[in-house]
Order: sequence, then structure tokens, then C-alpha cells
Amino acid sequence: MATYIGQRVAVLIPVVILVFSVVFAIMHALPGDPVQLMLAGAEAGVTTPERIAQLRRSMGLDEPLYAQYLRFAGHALRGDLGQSIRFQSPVNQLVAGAAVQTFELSLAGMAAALLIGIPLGIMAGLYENTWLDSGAMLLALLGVSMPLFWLGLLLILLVAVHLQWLPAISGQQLRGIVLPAFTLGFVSAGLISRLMRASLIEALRHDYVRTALAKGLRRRVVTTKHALRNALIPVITVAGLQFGGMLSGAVITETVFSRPGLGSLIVKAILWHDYPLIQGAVLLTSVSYVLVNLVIDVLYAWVDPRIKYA
Amino acid sequence: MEALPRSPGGAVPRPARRIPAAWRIFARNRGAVAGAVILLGWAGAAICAPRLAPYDPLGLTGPSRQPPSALHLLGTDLLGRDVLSRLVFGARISLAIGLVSVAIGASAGSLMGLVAGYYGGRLDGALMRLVDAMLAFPGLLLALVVIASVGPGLQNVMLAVGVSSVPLYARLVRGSCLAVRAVEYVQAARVLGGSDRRVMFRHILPNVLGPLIVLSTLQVGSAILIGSALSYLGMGAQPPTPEWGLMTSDGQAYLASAWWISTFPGLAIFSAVMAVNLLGDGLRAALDPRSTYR
Repeated sequence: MATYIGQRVAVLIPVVILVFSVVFAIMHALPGDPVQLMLAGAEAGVTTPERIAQLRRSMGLDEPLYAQYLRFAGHALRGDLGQSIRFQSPVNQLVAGAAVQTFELSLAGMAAALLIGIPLGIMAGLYENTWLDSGAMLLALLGVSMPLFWLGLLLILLVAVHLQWLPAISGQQLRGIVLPAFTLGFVSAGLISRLMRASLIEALRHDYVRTALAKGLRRRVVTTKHALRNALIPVITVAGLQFGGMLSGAVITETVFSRPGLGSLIVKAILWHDYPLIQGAVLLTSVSYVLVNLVIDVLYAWVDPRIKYA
Repeated sequence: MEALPRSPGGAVPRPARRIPAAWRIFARNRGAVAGAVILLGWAGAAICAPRLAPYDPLGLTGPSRQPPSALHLLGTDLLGRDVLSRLVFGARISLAIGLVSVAIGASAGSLMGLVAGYYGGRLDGALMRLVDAMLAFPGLLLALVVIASVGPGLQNVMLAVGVSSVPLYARLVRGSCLAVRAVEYVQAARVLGGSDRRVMFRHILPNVLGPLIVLSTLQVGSAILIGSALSYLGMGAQPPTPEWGLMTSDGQAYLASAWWISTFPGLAIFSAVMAVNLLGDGLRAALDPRSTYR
């Protein structure tokens, strides 16, 4: 197990270095002058030659490219991601605060996806080729075809504006996270229910199910204790991968519901041309995505001993 | 989750014979046919937009925020522009985003996969690390990163969405390429003096054509989704372009009083993407009989 984890981490190192380089390239391979763009975007056009020169010096943009790269890398390794132009505060503080919010939202979204997707998939699988099955599969199709921002707006219109059950703008209370979580989880719910269905149908066809039924066990027991347990394994892996993908869905969901978080921070930072903030937020998001996927893989190998991690 | 190589040696598909069978499977699939019809409808709207649209999509043709009526079937937006006319013209933009970005992604990605799979070795290793790095950005984020560096705008959206789909094609094509590289007919083509380029494009690429068509079709749907999401976020089409995502975001502030401004453009995106997905699933069933997704 330890060697397996070691190997997986070793493979990740070049990937993280490449991600890092791509993020660095965003800011430095730009045509045009990033400093002027940033000042125009972030400080509303108050550009004096002194301010430009000062910013260029403070960001080290007057150094050769390789020196900038090494300096950026060195600082990032020590957790220093530079200074946001717009907020005039350290990027790592801004990004860390937002990451907590996004993590909460992703957890809630995952919970919504599992709560909808698994029961739906089980029903569809048990009652294969009935109206229940078609209904569940239709929902899965809706999930992958629905623009997230539109789903969010429809939910706001229906649940918040007309029925007035839940708030449209999520504040600090727990109720506020319900609609965003449902929006974020909807796509994954579709995929999970589709996979749960396929996996359960396949498990029910195995010999051990027939054996258990032949022994005289009740169908209910066989389904839940024998088939379902095995059928859940691939579902859990995919759910894990979906969890990483929620970081991307959060970009839209947070914007629709005006929630603070990494996603909405990246969007704002891009619109403001706040390059240090973009760099930091994108770097943190993709590194956490890679790490989440690593953790899922390791957990998977631990849960299912049949996975060979030699 | 990797795309599996689907053409092991021996069973070499013969396209000429499979087309009728594939067509029959496809035509029996009601969902796929429905998808094709909806999509043709949108394509027709895009082509005949100037004739179909009752008003000028950019013109101020009525009072602001008029609910749907006989005069304005889907109402008017904040500035008094006809929502239906804007939707019809918007079909041009969304379909263009879908097609152009898939063309960019599929050609760049397939070339990358072919080269990596055919030459192997260090080149393969380097290209696949690059693919891994691109896959390390979850979904929308890679497109956002590209937009952050090239700036907002419609053309940049096509580029961004295309670039972010490159790894999918590269992996698919590389997998198939590895699977058939050592097969006899490829070896024979090489021994007979076929150039690398000829072997890659005439003998290897046709093997992946089925899965490649399926992936490209489904990607048109996700390209429309991501493209409209970028415009919704303010990084794609700029006002007053009648782009569906942008129109949805325009109406957001008036959701409670003028629901139609946001609802109809969203419905348009949804219907187009669902049509593409239905069509793609139908094509998968028809062209890719070994597929285990269903």
C-alpha cells in the first residue's frame, strides 16, 4: 500500500510542475503589457507612469523570464502566492478563505448527487425497462444537457420567488446552501444514477446471486446484501471523480447564487485582470483537483482489495 | 475512465458493409431520431435566420420587458428587443461555437494522439504528460485559463473550448493507435514503403473513425454548454450579440418580474444540447457495437 501511494505521488510531481508552468505562462506569455491591463482592470484606469514602474518592480516583471519563474516557484512552495492588485492583500489569504466555502458547497453538492442518484439508479435497475426506469434515465439525460446557470435560475424562480420556500441568495444560514447544492449536484446525480443502474443490473446477473436465491434466501436480502454491495463499488469511484469535477461546476453555481468561493473568485479575478489572484486561485483549484483524485484512487484501492496496486 | 482501444487485431471493420446495418440501428432509436430532428430545426433556424426572425435581433422593436404576446411571441427584453428574433439569430452563434471548437479540438487532439501512439517512446511520454497536465484542470477551468490569457470574445471562446477538449481526443486516438500499430496490415503498409504520414492517416486513423465521430458529436453538446457558460460569465460574446448564455444572464436581474428574458434562451441551450446528446448516444449504439456504456 505504501509503495502504491508513493508511486502515485511520484507520477503526480511532473503533472503538478506542468500545471504550475501553464499557470505561470498565462501571465507571462501574454501579448501586451500585463501591468497596464491590470491597472486598467483592477484600479479603474488610474495609471501614472510611476505606478506602472512601481508595480512592475514589485512584481519582478523587470527580471528575465527564467528568474521570474524560479522566484514564483520558490515563493509558491513556501505558500506565498503574491499580492492581489485589486484587494491589496496576500493572495493566499483570499484564496484560502474562498476554498473553505467552495469545499462546503462541493460537499453539499456531492450529498445531493448521492441522495438523488443512488436511490434513483437502484429503482431503475430493479425495475429495468419499466416506466420507472425510463423516468430515471430521462432525468440522467436532463442532467447532462442542462446548462447549470439556467437550472440555478429556474430553481430560484420556482422555489425562491414563487413558492418562497428557500432564499435565493445564500447567506450564512444552512438553508441557503440547499438550492446551490442541488444545482451543483444535478449533473452528477444523472451520471451516478445511470451508472448505479448499469452496475446493479450487471451484479444481479452474477452466479452468486443465483446461488443465493437457489439457497432459498429472500430476494430482498439477496438484492441488498449481495448484489447492491458489489454494485456500489464502481459508483463510489465515479462519485469520487465527480467530487473533483464539482470544483468546476462551482464556478457557475457560485456566480448564479452570488456565493463567495474559489469559482466566483476566479471569475472576478479574470474580469478584473488581477493576474496574481488568477494565478493563485487557478493553481490552488487544479492542485486540489489532482489531490482529491489521488485520495479517491487510494481509498478505492483500500476499500476494494481486488485492485492490484503492485 | 480512459477510452479503451476498440479495434483489436483481426476484426478489421469494413465501413462499406457496416453502413446499412448502422443506419438501421440508428433509425430504430427513437431518441436519436428525435435528437436529429431538433438539431436540424436549429440548423434551419440558423441558416434562415434573417427570414424566420420577425424583427431585427438588435433593433429596439417594442416597449421594454413586454410579456409574451401575439406581437412578440416570446416577449421583449430589457431594451425592448424581440426575444424570439434574438433566439433565432443566437442559433447561428451557438452552433458555430459547437462546430468550430470541435473542429479545433478534434483535429489538434487526433494529430497529437496519432503522433504519440505511432512514434511512441519519449515523444509519446512528453505528449502524454502534457495531456495529464491539461486534464489536471477540472472542466471549465482550462477554458477559463485560456480566456484569461487571450481575453474575452466569441472567437476566443471557440479557441478555449477547443483547446480544453484536446486531451480527450488525444487519449482516444492514441489508444487505438497503440492497439493497431503492430497489426499485420499496418506492418505490411510500412514494409511496402508507405510513408509514416500515409500509414497514420490511411491505415490507422480509419480504425478510430467510429469512436471519433461519436466523441465529436457528444463534444458539440458540451462545447455549446461551456461556450454559453463562458458568455454567461461575461467572458464570451459581448453585448449586444444575441448569444444564448449572454441573454440568460441579461435577464437574471429581472427574474421575478420578467421571467421570459432568461427562461427562453436557457431552454434553447438545453434543447440544442439534449438533441446533440440523443444523437450522440444513437450514433454510439450504431457505430460502436462493443460500447459498454449502455
